[in-house]
Amino acid sequence: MSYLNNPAIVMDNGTGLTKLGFAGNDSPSWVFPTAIATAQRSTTKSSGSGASTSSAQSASNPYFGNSTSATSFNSLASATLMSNNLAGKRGTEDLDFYIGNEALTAAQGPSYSLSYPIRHGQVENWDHMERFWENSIFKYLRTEPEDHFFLLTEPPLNPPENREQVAEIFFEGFNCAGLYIAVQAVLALAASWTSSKVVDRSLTGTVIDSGDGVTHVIPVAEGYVVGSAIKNIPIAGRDITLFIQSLLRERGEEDTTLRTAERIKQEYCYVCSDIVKEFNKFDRDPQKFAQFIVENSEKTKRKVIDVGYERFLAPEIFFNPEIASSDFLIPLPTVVDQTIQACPIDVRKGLYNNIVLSGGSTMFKDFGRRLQRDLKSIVNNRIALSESLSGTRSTGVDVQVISHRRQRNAVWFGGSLLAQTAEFKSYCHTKQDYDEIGPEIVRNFSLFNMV
Amino acid sequence: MPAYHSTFATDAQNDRMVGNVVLLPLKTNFRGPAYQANSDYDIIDECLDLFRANSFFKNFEIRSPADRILIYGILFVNECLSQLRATTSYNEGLKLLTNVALDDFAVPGTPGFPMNNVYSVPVQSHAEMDLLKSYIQQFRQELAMRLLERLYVYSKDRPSKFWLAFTRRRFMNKSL
Amino acid sequence: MLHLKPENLLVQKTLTEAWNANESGTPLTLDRVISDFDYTTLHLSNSPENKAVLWLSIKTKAWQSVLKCGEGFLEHLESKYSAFPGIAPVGPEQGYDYTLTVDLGQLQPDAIVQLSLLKIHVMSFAFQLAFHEFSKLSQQTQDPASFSGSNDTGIVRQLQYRDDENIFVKPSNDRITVIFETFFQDETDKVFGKVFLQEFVDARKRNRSIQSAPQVLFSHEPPLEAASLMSARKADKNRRFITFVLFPRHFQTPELQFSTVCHLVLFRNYFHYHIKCSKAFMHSRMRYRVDSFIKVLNRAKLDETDDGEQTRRTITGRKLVY
Repeated sequence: MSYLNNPAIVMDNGTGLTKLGFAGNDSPSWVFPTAIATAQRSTTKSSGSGASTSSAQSASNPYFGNSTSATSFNSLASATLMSNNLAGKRGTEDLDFYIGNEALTAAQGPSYSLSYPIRHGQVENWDHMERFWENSIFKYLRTEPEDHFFLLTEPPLNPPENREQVAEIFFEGFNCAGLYIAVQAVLALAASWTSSKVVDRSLTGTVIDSGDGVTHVIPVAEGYVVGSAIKNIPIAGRDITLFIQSLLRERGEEDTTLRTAERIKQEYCYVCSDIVKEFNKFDRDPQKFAQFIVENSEKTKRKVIDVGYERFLAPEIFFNPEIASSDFLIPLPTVVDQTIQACPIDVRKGLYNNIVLSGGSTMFKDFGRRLQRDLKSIVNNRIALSESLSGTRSTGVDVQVISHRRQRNAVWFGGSLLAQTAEFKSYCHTKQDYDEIGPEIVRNFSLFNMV
Repeated sequence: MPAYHSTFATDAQNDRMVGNVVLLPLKTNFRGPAYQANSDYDIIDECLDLFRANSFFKNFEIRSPADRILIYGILFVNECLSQLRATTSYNEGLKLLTNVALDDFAVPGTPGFPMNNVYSVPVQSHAEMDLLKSYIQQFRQELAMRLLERLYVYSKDRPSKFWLAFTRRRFMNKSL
Repeated sequence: MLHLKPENLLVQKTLTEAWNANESGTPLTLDRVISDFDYTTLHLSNSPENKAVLWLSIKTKAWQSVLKCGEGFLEHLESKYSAFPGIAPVGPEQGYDYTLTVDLGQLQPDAIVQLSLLKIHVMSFAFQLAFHEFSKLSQQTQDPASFSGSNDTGIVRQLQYRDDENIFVKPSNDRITVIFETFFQDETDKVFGKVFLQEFVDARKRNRSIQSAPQVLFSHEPPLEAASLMSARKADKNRRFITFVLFPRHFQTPELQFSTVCHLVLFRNYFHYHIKCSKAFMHSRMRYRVDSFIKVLNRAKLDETDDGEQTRRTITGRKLVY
């Protein structure tokens, strides 16, 4: 079948952003928020009268002549899409939705309501997710699912029932040719093989995946995630942005929107080695204070915002969480250390040696260096303590943090590397297998190592 | 919690102690009981350096008696900043802060001071209390002077807004 | 979304990004493989000599059969892009059927739109020939001298754009017939397909306002017009033939021609897309029903008793504690 020559499709659906693209490319073709805006009927009239008008209209016009415009619907003033009026639907209202950035703009109008189908990495609303996938495959990727193999990602500790549900949607709904669901942490490890510091390609390591909502520290031993040792840190990109925003407000800057704070975060922030020294550096060298210019789209108004200490204070909250909030007080290096100590003792050296960063919030300059330094000091203290208690010398533990150029979309990139190999298609579960055996085959995916 | 602590070690012979408050040497021209500091870097410089960093921390543990002076210094800097506005010029600021420094203040350890739990001073001994009070007054004056220098380093008409941003941050949620 | 767009959004987006980057002085390094419907692969990369010049290559399954349709194919493609400066065809890249060089310095925004329609242009060639032939045939019939009385029909052209699936285009003197042959892999798809196509056929009769739409027929058996080309293949149960009859008003002007071609070329994808959407809709209704059913079931559950044993109460209602 000639679909064997078609590139596979790699889809990484995260809580904040979805990354879509074709295998073999080095960066995803589309990156947009995982949001869907569905048509929301105005709920001004009561549902009783709404139901009667809808049925009256539907009786008179069984075929909605909507062939030209997707939005010229008669306003059935009843409840939302997933309501009791499902039976009364005759038209194509279920196709009236937008995803991604278009969803965000559409939701600002009156007739669309925004929803985020993925929370904390897991799919919460399968209807919305199915439609999200449908739109992303046909409109953005422009592919016929019957011709392609798909590689999807799942968060760690994903229940197998969710995997079966995904397989059901893809095989029965989209008739895809084949499917492989990979754990995000393993793909991030695969992506790290492109870094120059990695000499052997192993699937043992600790993945620090920091996105917009939450940061995960996930130890992976020989390609299998050590589920009981996974730790979550509630500090991630959004908290950093909020912290920057609060600092801007305290100073009384002109523009303290979240959007400005986000752009300041992306362009000016870096990780310092010590905040007191950094404060002094700023005192001695006023060049470090930067200026950020906000222009609105017509370029008529210009606001100049000074950027000061938040350049290094914002990413510092990973290492000193209490400067931002008093809920969570454990710094990131300590959490990583605790995670590794919770793993079986024979893999710990490998875990320390191969700490891989992934996700947009790890892209700060010198993040890896600071993490490596702090973690090394924790480990050395513990070794010194044990040596003094026991009297024997240890062979030392080598701590290495790997950062590479593809960190921002490391999971997608790892998927693309895996999916472009020739053996990938033999590891997927195909539609024939699904038809014969059923959804249980999706509970297990064989792990394969790219040699 | 890794807030930044004072690096000054207490020298048992040379420094005087009032209760558990050590009277560290200051480099100052104001009159008072403090000894002259031999080095360039004294406790007041340290207070100013660590003020911005420590303002973010809500927890602080005392590791040495010098930390107590550090805490007092940080709280006082916060009080000074709250007196200044964005439009206060150097001369006005000088007058304001000198008044604040010489104003009546609560001595650590006496009722009226917010952080009495870490300070223990012999309230009965008047001589020691006087010593402490005059030391702290000298400390306040010198700290206010050096703070003003740092605030107005860029322009004499308005204080640096980066410093003023810390007005609302309360170190350990306390203020004088 | 109701309709599939004819242009490839990803090509548009990539070209716009590359153009913006070039404008701001730092040209992007590009090497992107993009897939499109029907086994089409597009490849956007920098040309080896100059980073500001891109190569856009396309490879479709339909290429071979379009070439067979008639001559003038490459000229036809060239003519589409000759109006824009900076775009020129170049020898095809290895593994691809056709390559264009795009000079970012001279690129215009509507050129970007035309480039993203490259696949449509490739497949429109067969239709273009059919339009020409139709105009020749219709002139023939209007000229009474050469009117032979029989319904003169033109040659049937076949576009093989997928494995096992073809489009047949056949012009005659007063209409053009387009036959789609499509293949369903799944049982449920067949049912949905049948309902969908029935609606296509009936809507025209029911609704007077769309009388001007082309007439649609569908069947299991290959229609007679195309039977000559399909003698080798047996019609099995999974195949369906959908016939569109286009009337002259559908391709009178170049704009109408273009929009007709777009709709026809994307028809199969549109058809399968809607089948999948209908399945998704059924799924959502099923889930909703299951949820409400579970709610009813939950109400019918018996209350849990503590520790599995009955708590014993006295006559006045106080519990006995052991």
